[in-house]
Amino acid sequence: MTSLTPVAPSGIWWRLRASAAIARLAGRSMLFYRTSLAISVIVLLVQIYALSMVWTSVYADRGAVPGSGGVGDISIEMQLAYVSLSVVQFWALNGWSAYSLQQRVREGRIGTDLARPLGLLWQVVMGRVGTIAACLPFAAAVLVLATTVGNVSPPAGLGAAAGYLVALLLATIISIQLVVLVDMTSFWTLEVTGIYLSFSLVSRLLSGSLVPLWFMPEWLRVLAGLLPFQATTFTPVAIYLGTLTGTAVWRALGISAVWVIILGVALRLSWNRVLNRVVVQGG
Amino acid sequence: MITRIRRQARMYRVLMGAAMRAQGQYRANLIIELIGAIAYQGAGFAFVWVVVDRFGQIGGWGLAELALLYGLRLGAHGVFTSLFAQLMGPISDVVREGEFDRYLTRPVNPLLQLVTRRFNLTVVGDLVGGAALVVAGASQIDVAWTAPAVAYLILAVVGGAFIEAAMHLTASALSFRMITTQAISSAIDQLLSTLGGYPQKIFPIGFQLGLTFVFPLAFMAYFPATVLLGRTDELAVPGWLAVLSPAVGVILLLAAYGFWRGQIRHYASTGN
Amino acid sequence: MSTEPVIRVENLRKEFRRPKRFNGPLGGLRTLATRQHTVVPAVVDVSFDISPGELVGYLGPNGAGKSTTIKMLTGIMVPTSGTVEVAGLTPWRDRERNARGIGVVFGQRSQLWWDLPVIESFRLVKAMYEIPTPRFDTNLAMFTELLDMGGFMATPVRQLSLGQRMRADLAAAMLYEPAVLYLDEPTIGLDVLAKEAIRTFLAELNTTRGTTVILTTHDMDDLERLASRLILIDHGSVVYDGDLTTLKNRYAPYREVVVQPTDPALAEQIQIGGTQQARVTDGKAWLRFNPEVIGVAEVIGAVLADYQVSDLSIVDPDLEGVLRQIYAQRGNDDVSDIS
Repeated sequence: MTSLTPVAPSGIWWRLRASAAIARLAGRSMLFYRTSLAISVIVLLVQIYALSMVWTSVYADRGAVPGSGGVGDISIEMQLAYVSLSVVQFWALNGWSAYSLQQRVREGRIGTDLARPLGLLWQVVMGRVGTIAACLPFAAAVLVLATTVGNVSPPAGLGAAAGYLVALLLATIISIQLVVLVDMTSFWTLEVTGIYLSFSLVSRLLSGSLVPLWFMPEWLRVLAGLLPFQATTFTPVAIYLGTLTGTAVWRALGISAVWVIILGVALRLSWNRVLNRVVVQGG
Repeated sequence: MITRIRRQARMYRVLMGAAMRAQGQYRANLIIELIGAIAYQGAGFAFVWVVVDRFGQIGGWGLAELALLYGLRLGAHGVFTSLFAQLMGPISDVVREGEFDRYLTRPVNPLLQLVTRRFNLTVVGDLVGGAALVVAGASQIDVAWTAPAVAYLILAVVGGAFIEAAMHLTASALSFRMITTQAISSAIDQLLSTLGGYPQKIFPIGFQLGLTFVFPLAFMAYFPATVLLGRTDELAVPGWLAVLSPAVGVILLLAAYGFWRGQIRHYASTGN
Repeated sequence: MSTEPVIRVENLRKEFRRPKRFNGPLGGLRTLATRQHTVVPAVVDVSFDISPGELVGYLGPNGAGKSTTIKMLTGIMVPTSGTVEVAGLTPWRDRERNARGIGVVFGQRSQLWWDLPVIESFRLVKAMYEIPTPRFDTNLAMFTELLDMGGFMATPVRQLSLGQRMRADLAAAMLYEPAVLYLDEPTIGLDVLAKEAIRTFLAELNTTRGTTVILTTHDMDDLERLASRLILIDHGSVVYDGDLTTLKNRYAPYREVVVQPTDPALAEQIQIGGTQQARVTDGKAWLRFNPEVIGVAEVIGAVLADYQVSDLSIVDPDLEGVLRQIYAQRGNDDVSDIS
C-alpha cells in the first residue's frame, strides 16, 4: 500500500505481518456481524434488480443509446453490465465497516490504539483493507450470479482486463483514502452524521455508482471527471466494458494516480493535525 | 375512549418534549446535520433527475410526476421517523437491559415510552425534503389541486407513514423473543429507499404483486400517486384498492400493534 | 392501621419452559426445532401476606426466585398459577392501575432522564402519574429538604454522584405517594453517609406515611436497621417468614465471647465448660455458648478466673453469618454472596 513515510528496511517484514494481522482482525469482525452482512448482500441484489429494471424501461425498445464523453453508443447489454459491476464495486469498496475511527473514539479506545507501535493511521487503513477483503467473496458471488443471469459478460479484451485491474487497484486506494478522511472528521467536529451523510450522497452520485458518467448532463460529467469519486467506480467499470479505450484510458488512470497522491498528502496533513489535537491537547 | 386518546397524546407530547430537550444538550451544528439528512435521502432523487434529464421519462412518468412520487415516499418516511424513529433502534438491548421492564411499571403505554426515549433531529430533514419535493412536483403537474386532492395527499402521506411504522413495529416486536431486530429494520429501511422512488409499472407483474401483497411498498406512495395523477389504469390491481391506500395503512398499523401487544404478553409469560 | 393485607400472595408458582437443549453435531438445529421442553421452576408455592406499613426484607441467594417474585408483584411477569393481589388489584391484569400505586427503585438502573436536570425528571413523573400540582409541590419541597437535594436540582442526572442519584430516584418514586415501594439494592455502591441518609429517609417514609416497603438487598445493615420482617426465599420456596430476632434465635441460638489472652499463643488452649471454641484467629479465641444454658456473666467470669486476658468482647451472631449458615445447610454451592 502507498505510504509517504519512508520505512526502515529492517522493519518491513514486521510491518507487513502486523498489517496483515490487523487486516485479518477487521475482516473477521465483519463476520461477527454476518446477519447485517447477509442483509446487505440481499439489499445489493435488490438494488441491482431495481436499477436494471429502470434502465430497461428507459431504453424501451432501443438497442443502444449514444453516451457522452466520447464513449460512443451504449448498448442495453453494456448498461446492464455497468449496473451490476458498478453497484457491486461500490458496495465492496465503500461498505460499512466494523472498524472505524469514529467508533474507536466513541468507545474511548483511541488511547490504547495510539499507544500501539504500528501507526494508528496505518492501522485504520489496514482495517479498511481487511473489511474490503471480507466483502470480496460476497461481491464475487453476486457477480457470478449476475453473469449466469446474463447481465455481465467478460471484459472487452485483454487490454481492457489489464486496465481494469490497474484501475481497480487505484480505486481501492482512493476509496480507502476517502473513507479514512471522512472518518477523521470525528476528531474535530460534532456533526459527524451530517458530514458523513453528505459525503455519502456526493460519493454515490459522482462516483457513477448510480448513473454512469456517460449519461450525466455535460456539466456534471465534466465535474465528476475531475474529482476522485469517479475513480472508485466509473473508471474501472468503463475500462472493463471497453467504453474507454486508448488514450482515454491513460488519461483516466492518470487522473486517478494524481488523486492518489493528492489524497495521500491530505491524509498525512490531516493526520498530523489530528495527532496534535489528541496527543497534545487531549482531544 | 376519547379521554384515553387525549391522555396518550398529551403524554406523547410531554415525553417527546423531554427527548428533544435531552437532544438539545448536545450542541452540534444542527444545520449541518439537517443538510446531511436531506442529502442522504436526496441521492435517490438525484438519480431519477439525471436519468430523466437524459431520457425524458421513467415508465412514462415525467420529472414532475416522479418528484411527486418521491416526495410522497420521502414525506411518509419523514412522518414515520419523526414519530417512531426509535423503532429502528436497538430494541432488544432495551428489553435485555431491563429498560423495558421499567416501562411496564409505569402507568403509561410502553410503546409510547419506547418511541419517546430519544430524539434525533435528522428526522426533520426527511420531512423537509419530502415536503419540498411534493410541492415542487405538484406545482408542475397539470392536475387541479382541489381541497379533496390535497386532503388525499395528506392522508396518503400519513397512510404511508403508518405502513412503514407497521413494518418496523412488527420487526421490533420480535425483540421480545430475543431476536436482534436491528438488522431487519435496517433491511426494511434500505429496501424502501431502493425501491420506493420508481413507478412500479417498470417491474414485471410478479414483482409488482410482491410489492403490493408481500412487502406493501405500493400502498405507501405509488398507489396514492397514481390516484392523484389519474394513472390508475396502469396498475396491476383494481383502482379502488389503490384509492384505499390510507385505509390499508391504518389496518396494517393496527394489526402490527396487535402483534406487538401479543409479543409483550408472551414476554411477560415466558421471561427471556 | 387496617388489618387487611395490602399484598396477598397465595400459592404463587412460576415455571419457565425452556426448549430442551441438545448437544452434539446437529445440536443447535435440533434445539431450534424441538417441541420438547424442560420445565424450570423458579417460584414454587410461595405464600405470604403483607400488611400496610410493614417494611419487609426479601432475601435469598442468587437464582432463588427473588426477582421473579418481584416481577410478578409489580406486574411485569405473569405467574404460571396462584394469586397475587396488591391493594386489591391483580398486577399483571390491571397493570396500569397497579402502576399508579407502586414505586419501584432499582439500585443499578436509574429511572430518571439521563440528560435532563433532576427537576425535569420530577416534572415528567408528575405528568406521567398525573399528580395534582399542590400535592406535587408539597411532596417535592418535603423530599428536597429530607434528602438534601437542593444543591443539585438543576444538575443533569448524568453528572450526579451515585448518592445524589439514589436520593433523586427515591424522591421520584415517592412523589405520587404510592402505597407500596419496591426497592432493589437501594444502597449499593454508596458511602457510609449516603447509606445513612437513604436509610433515615426510608425509615421516615415507613413510619410517618405508612408506606409499605419491600426491600431486596445484599446489605445486612440495611436489613438490621430497617426491616421488621424478613422473608427468605431459596430454590423458589419460602424458607423463613418472620422477624430478625426469631430468625437469629432459631438458626443461631448462641452468643460468642471473644477472648484475647495476654500471651497470644495461648489462645488455642482456652477452654471453658459449657462453651465451644468456634474459631481461633490472630491470637483471639471465639467461645460460643447457648445463653439459655449458660449465662454470659458466668462465661466471662470463668474466663477471667482461669486466664490472663488482655481484651474481651461479646459478639452476637450477625445476620450475614446466620444467612450464610442457612444457605450452606440448604446445600447452596455459592455462599459467598449470601443474599
